[in-house]
Formats: sequence, structure tokens, C-alpha cells
Amino acid sequence: MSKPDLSVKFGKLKFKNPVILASGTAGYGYELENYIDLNELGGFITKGIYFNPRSGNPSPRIYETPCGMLNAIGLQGIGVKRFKSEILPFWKKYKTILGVNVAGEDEDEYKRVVEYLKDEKRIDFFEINLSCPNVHAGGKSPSWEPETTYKIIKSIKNISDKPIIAKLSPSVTYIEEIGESAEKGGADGISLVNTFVGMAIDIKSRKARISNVLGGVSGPAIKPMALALVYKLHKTVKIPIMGLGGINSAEDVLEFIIAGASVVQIGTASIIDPAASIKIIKSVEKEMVELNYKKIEKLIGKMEK
Amino acid sequence: MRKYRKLKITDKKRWGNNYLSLFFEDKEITDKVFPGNFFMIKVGNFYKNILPRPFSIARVFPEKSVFEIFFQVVGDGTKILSEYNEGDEVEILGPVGNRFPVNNDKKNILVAGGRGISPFLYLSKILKSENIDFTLFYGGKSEKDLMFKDYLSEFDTIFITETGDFGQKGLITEYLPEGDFNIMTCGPDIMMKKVYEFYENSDSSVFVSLEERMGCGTGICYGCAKKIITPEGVKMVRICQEGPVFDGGKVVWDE
Repeated sequence: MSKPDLSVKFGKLKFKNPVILASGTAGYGYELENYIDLNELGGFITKGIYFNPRSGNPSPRIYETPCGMLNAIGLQGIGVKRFKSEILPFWKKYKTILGVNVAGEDEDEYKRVVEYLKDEKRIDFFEINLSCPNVHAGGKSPSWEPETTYKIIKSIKNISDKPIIAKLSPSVTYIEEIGESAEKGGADGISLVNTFVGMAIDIKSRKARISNVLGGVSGPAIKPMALALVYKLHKTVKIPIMGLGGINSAEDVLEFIIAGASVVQIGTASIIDPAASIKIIKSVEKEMVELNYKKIEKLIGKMEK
Repeated sequence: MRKYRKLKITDKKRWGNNYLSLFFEDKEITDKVFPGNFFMIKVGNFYKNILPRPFSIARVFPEKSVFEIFFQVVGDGTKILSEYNEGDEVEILGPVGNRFPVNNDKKNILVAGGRGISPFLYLSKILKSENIDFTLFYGGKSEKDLMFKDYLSEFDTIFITETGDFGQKGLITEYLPEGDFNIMTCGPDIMMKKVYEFYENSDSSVFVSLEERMGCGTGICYGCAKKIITPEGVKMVRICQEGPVFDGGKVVWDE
């Protein structure tokens, strides 16, 4: 039996398989070098990069919740300069499609990051993290509002020729509206979902379980909600979607693709097992053989009533 | 490639007071593991407790390729692990993390509080076999918090209990010798901080093994970071990747 075709076209990008490591749960890449062959991945997205280095939140930063986890790392990062001089050279020995997750404390910072990195050949696309708290807007995430989403994507689109993917927060009332604004702003794709806002309390001390009080919930707990958002957005926008949220098996991958994602990202599963992504790629292939699916691209959004 | 491997539990011991030991046989691990290192263990029950848990190396018997994990039941993960029996398999990643730095020129002082004895069980054996001078101070609330008494009788061990029902009575820091030593300590933060402060103005160096809620154990999630003084100022540094053993002088203790 011939191998199923796992390759997916995503606008200008061509992924050899639909499994991408999500931002924030795969470090900068070098951390995983002893655990997986990065070339086997469909793609890789770096930790969020702000213009300046950031120390992130104090500890404790994570807490396990049923079927998932809560985190508020606080986007600790090395900043664009060190990213360019220390991390990009590392990636030259790999062929994997590389996305840089772009973060910003305000609208201007996103632009400055993309401006700084726009000519780097090793970078294949920018994923714009529209869930960063805006320091000038009371900690609101840009992707909670259609106007800010539109404005930021539009301002970046003019700077770089590389594909721009808008990563959206799921903690909104009407995801279709936010997705449409990103599309109108010129986004080449959408990553959905970032973590859901959540919290946990220690009932003895009555303190929040993590220092930031509020954090992001990820893991299998959020999968059904993430899947529903991807499904809704796929019916609304024409640009392709990177689906994520609790994906941990071949079945999860195929569910997201059938719901309308073109490719998927693996997040929390890599924290649980650094080799999860590779195991998932292999089992997607196996599952497709069993189900007699020949080409994964043909399954995108192909839901039956 | 490093990866999670299924290892069979070859033996299990209950110590009372919710302390347990699990034993595994694996030459690859016993050949390279060193005190300070730890393992990430998937505790099972994936859909309730998804994160792997970190466990320090305890005793190692290299001639039999046997190593031990020693822990106290303190939460969901350790509870589940405590219910495993001989013959059951668990998924283990490691050893990961750095090592306690042994010093051949100074006397080595090991200071263990409660379950912080783990890394010093094997370290004592290594130091003795290499004829390196050392003393182990091992403190707990009462006799039932001190384990491994037979094993530790082979070494220069000073037992200390707060109740005084075994060994010396009082706090471990009341018994530490003054002088120029290589100090290695593992236990509650408050104890390690006091050990550090005791030697702060001496020529001794103090190395501490830090603990923090951990996500991945591989350096990718930045969940376990703590404030550490680096050449570029105070930074949030990952316990799993750059640690868990740090120079006590570089730790920001007032966290």
C-alpha cells in the first residue's frame, strides 16, 4: 500500500506534513534537539519574541488542572537581537518550515520586531501573537477587538513579504468577527486557538495557584471548544487555518482538519512528552491508511452532515 | 535521541509516614546518573494528571544496574505513583539536570532535610568509594522522618531531629561546623537558605538543589523558572535546564 500524502499547501507555504510545534511549548528549538529530529516536523514556531528581552512572571508559573494545565510564563524571552544572533544560526542546519511568533506590548512593538527580522531568509513566516496583554490598554489582548486586530495585521503586512499568520485568543464572544478583521487586514492565515483565560485557587491559603493569578488553560481540556471555534471560523474566512488546542493524537489531528484546519499545532502534548509531535505524525499516517484516506489536504473542512 | 522509556518496577518499599521507594533496573541509567540529576516520570491517569513529575535519583547499585526513586506522597501524582506495584511499568525520561559539584581539595559537607536526603544517598557512596572526605548531616522532624539508617551507618552521618527522639536534638543548622568547606544541600527552601546564610561570610561554597513546580523537564516550557543572579543581572532561570543545582550565592532567596 502506498503511503498517504500528508503534505499541505498553506497559501505560499508548503508543509510536508500538517504537524507544527506551537509557540511557547517548544522553546526556541535547540532544547528539543536531543529529543527529536526537527526535520521530521511539518513546521516549528518559536517562543514569542518581543523586541526587548523580558524576564517573564515570577514563580509559580504553572499549575496542573484536570485534563490540562494553567500557565502564565509571562512571555519570558531573549528579544530580537539575541534571537537573530543566537537562534537563527542554529536553524540553518534544518530544513523545517520556521515561523517566528511575534509579540508586542503595544501596536508599535509588533512592527519593530517584524521590521528587524523581515529580511532573514531562514524565517518562513511570522505568526503574530495577538493575545499579548497590551500595557497601554489595561492588559487587553489585541485580538479581543476586531479594530485592533485589523490595525496590527495591516501595519505588519506592509512591512514584510513573508506570510503573516494571526494567532487569535479564544476568549472572545464572536470569533468570526475577529477572524474577518484579521483577513481584511491582510493576514495570510489564522492560528486558532491560543489558551483560554483561566485560574485556580489554593483553598487553604486562598491564594491563586500561579503568581499572575490569571493564566492560560491548555491541554486536552480545551480541545472540544477549540475544535468548535476552528469549525466556526472555517465557515467564515477564506484564508487557511492552523488549528490548535489540546491536540494529542492522530484522531485529534484529523478532527481539526475535518473541522476546517489546514494544518495543526502541537502545544501542551510536547510538554508531556518531547517526542509527542513525531509520534503523532507517524500515527496520523497509520490512521489514514486504516481509514483509506489518500491525501490529507482533501479532508480539510470536509465534514459530512 | 533521549526519550521516555517504559521501565518495570523491580521492587517497592514502604517506609511508613507516606514515604516510598521504587526500584528499577537499567544499566544505561545507572552508568550515567549522578547525584543532582533527576527523572521525569509519567504518573499515568493521563486525562486527569497530564504532566510528568520530577523525581531525584536516590540510591544506585551500579553492580546490579539498579536505581531507586524515593518520595513522599504529597499530591495527586505521588499518590498515583505510590499505588504502582512490582512488575508494573512506568514511563521515565532521564537522567536530566545538572550535578552536585564534588570538591577534591576541601572537605565536603552534605546537608539533607527530610526527603532532601535523596541525592546524598548515592553521593555518599561515590565519595566513600573515591576516598573523598565528607560528613552528612541529615535532619527531620522526628525519627520517623529519617530513613535509610542502616545504609547511612556506613558513612560519617550525623542524624538530627527536632523532637530529639533520634540522634541530636534541634535544627540541622545548629550542628554545622564552621570553616572552609564544599557544602551541598537539599531540602526545604528555608533550611537551604539558612545553610547558605551560615556560610555566607566564610570561604565555603554552598550548592543548593532547587525545587519548583515543573512542566516539561526538558527546557521548553519555562514553567519552572526561578530568580537567579546571572552576569546580566537577575533572570528567571529554568530549574530543569540550568539546574536543579545552583550556587547558593546566586539564588534570590526572598522569593
